[in-house]
Amino acid sequence: MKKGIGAAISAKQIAYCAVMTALLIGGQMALSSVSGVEVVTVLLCSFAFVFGVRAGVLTAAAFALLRCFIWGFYPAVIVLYIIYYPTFSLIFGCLGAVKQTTYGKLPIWAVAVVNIALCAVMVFCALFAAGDFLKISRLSKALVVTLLWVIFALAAALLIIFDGLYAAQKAGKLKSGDTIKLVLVTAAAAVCTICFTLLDDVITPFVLGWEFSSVTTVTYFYSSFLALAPQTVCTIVTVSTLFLPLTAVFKKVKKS
Amino acid sequence: MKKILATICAVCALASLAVFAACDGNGNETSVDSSSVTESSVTVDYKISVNTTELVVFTATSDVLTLTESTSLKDYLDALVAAGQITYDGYVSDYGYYITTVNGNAEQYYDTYMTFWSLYTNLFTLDGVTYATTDYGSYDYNGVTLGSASYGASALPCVEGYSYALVYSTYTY
Repeated sequence: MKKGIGAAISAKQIAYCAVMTALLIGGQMALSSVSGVEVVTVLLCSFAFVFGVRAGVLTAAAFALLRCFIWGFYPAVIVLYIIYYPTFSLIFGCLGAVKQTTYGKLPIWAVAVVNIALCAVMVFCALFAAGDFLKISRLSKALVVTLLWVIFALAAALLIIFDGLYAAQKAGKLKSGDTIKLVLVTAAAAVCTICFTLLDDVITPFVLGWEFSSVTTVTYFYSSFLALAPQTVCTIVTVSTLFLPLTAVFKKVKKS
Repeated sequence: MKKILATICAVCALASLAVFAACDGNGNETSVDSSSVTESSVTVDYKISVNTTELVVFTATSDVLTLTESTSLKDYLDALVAAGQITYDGYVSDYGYYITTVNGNAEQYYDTYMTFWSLYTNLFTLDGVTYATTDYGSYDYNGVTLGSASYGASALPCVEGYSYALVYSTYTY
């Protein structure tokens, strides 16, 4: 029996993917009226983490296509979703494939990657929050700047916790790798959420034929901060609080 | 202790004065300074709303609502609703309030196309921020070109003398 990516997918796995796709669409639909709040990120990253790359990518692709029946077939959105969500599942599927012992004894390059990613998030947020070049609607600017500072603070907190846990791990005072894994996954999810909006800022102008230096493209980039800021805060909060319970539930389902 | 309390009271009094200084006699914030408007106001020959189930056009005026720097188009539409002039419905999207229904006419999805309410304005730029462009859609009304709005109704400022149009449009897949 072939194992891994090349192995035949079982009916049980297909059923898991189908149920998860329905949950993702249901979750997105249920919270569609609440701006900036979503559960797709935490549900999909937990699912891909436990069920692996193949199940995660299949579910993400099905979600990206099937959601169009509810929200409409917009080419720019389809391209964005079909690129982003399978890539997102690939990342978390790979993180899930890492052995628990590795999280308990994290290599230095992984620590460096997390530090660089979190520092990049902090610099990005501080630059746009403190600088005078965020040309956004005057009715939303105060809220967006506040949320950018909130993301900055959350990223700084994650960085301090992560480095503190790594130091404790090195000193042999931290046995379980669960906490460090949670911080790593939360950081990865936050970076992915920011990349989602930035990817949209590239794909939408490309699909709609706007020039990249045009006023329309620049305006679209600035207005996208209305989505980026609350979604990133939501991702950090939901992933840091729900990832461990959700992965525990998914592990039980997988074993049954 | 008394000195600390006196200092706190003095600071509060100064803060209150600063707040009242920014208000007019009715306690509302003072209206937007026209000098801050980078694009010159376009004189239009209509002030009364065009009000049908497929088109609503109006020019913002303080006769309907006292316009301040924090007045959004949604506030203005709410005032028009309160005055019994129009009805509308929608939801809060990431980019501001998205209007789905005006005067009982709702957006519709079909196999190959959809109908929806698009928002146009000639408030193109204000304080260096672009609020509308003609690059991805424009609407001409009485010789005035309105550009497609870059924000939803709650994030779009409502500024005296500028025109806003809600147009029932079609998008083909």
